[in-house]
Amino acid sequence: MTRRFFLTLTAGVAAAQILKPRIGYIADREGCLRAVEGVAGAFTVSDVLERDVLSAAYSGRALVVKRAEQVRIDDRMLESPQGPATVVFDKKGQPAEIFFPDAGVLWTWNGKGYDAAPAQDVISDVYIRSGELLVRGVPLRLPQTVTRVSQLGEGWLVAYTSETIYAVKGEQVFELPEGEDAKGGQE
Amino acid sequence: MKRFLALSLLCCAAATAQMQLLQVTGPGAEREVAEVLAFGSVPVGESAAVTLRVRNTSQASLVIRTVVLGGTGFAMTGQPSLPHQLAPGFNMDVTVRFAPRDFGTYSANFSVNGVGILLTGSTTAAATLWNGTTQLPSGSATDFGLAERGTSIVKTFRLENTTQQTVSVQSAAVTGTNFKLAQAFPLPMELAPRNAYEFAVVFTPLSSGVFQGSLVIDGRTYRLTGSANEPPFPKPTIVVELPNPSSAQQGKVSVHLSQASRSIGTGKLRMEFTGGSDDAVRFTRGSSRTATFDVTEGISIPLPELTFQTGTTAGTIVFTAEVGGWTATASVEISGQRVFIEKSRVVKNASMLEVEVTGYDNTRSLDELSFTFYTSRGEVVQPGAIRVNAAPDFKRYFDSTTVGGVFTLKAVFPVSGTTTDISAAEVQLSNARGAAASGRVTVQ
Repeated sequence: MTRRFFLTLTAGVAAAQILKPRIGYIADREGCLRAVEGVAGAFTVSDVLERDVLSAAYSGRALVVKRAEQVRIDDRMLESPQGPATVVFDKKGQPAEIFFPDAGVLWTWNGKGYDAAPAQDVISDVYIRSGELLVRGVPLRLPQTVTRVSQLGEGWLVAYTSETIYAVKGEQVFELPEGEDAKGGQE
Repeated sequence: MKRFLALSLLCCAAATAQMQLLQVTGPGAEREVAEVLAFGSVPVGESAAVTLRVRNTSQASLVIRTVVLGGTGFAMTGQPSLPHQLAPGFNMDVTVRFAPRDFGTYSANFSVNGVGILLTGSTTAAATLWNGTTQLPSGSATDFGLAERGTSIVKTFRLENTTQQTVSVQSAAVTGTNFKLAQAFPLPMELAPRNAYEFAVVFTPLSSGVFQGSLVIDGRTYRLTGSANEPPFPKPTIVVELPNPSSAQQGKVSVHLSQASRSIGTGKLRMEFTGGSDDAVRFTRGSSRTATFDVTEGISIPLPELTFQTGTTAGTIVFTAEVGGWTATASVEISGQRVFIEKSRVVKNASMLEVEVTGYDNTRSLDELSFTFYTSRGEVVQPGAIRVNAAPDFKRYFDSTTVGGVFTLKAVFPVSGTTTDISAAEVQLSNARGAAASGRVTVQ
């Protein structure tokens, strides 16, 4: 929801908006893209934005959505290898590397496009070892075995287990609420 | 030992010109009775019944003055009060029951208005079945009453030899789900005269409902009945784990039972909120404010841990657990507080400053905003603190959403002159509880 109002200053005029805070995006267990909104500890999950999504990553600036044979980076659609994608963002929040583990292919941004090369993994300060999530080498204990991790938003990670999706910020771990049924009913 | 009774017959035939003596053999079926009516062989403790019919075969009314039955082991029922007028062609029925209590041969005299027949019967030696002081004839039913599913009711029976001979019991069994003999019968069993054997039958219903079984002894069947209901559910309690009962928290709630359940069923845990529309007040799994759980036998914590959120609105969260007719509640009070600022950011370009503040106001009464900008030397940039009354706009925003008290405020400030030396900003937001400040935020 956007509301505008005007501030009258002695030096000029300012404009303002009041919005619903958006934390980031997830691909839920049914393959639906949903927005995560609110603040830490008070999350809401939006209705389905897109279906048949294998993975999603959001830096706060750029959103990368992976479908079967396509990857969408904001408005750009690119043909890609099959399977989910692991995205590493640069300091400006742009996807610098995209790794496709099922295909063993790594894309690297060269300033104009992506160079593809075979790879076994991507170097990242977030990874999973024996079902445990490590952030900058520090293990983060979650109640269940982590199967997948992605960037939820600026400063946020999303960790997937067999039963629950967790939002992680620093050392804080939160359970993300489940969204409404992808078919339209309440879960 | 045989017993004989002296009989005195007033007439050689069982019928006279006025009346006819018949035996009812079935619905609409009858036959004339001869001088002797044999009841056959009946086990001790059992009985056999015959319906005798007196018909007025004359053209005039017949007065029945006497109906007599004399002899051990025989009894009569159904006779009318006497004298009894029997119209022409009409019948009078009487039931005679032979129920020997001891081994032997029996006979009795049955007469109507002096016209009589000889009744005979004999017994086979057999033990009689008793429950306490009540003798149970075959075909009778013994009710075990109402039991809770999974518990047992025991009834003790007694096989008694009331005869002067040794009686042999060849077979004894209990049939029917939920009924069984407490101990196997020592078969074949010899019961000496006047001796008895006690045994127990156990009724253990494994489900609720009405049940039937049978106790069969040497071909004689005695019915067993019983019913069962579900044991009561234990009382539930709600345990809430919320170290910091305030907004924007995740806690855990569980449902405990006062003891391990013996019942099977389902329960429900509901979450209600008095503070207004806030989608973030919810469970994180399943339906947003309702959770169902199963109760199985032996379980004492049917809902171990369910994560919930307190949202970003002041109010009271009420949990209600319903199971097996019990209701338990627990509540958490979320107090109003100053605006909570989660993050602040200030970005500049050549001519503009953009301030972004994300947080929540759980009282939804945010009114005054104050923006102050600083130079790299820490001096306040003119015109100093810029104050804005944003109450109407925030009220419109809060009224139009269901997201509770969360917000992101983006305010843009045009700058006349250069923004180069503007290096920090501070934002202050006030609500009904007071003012909250972002602290000095470095301009990016």
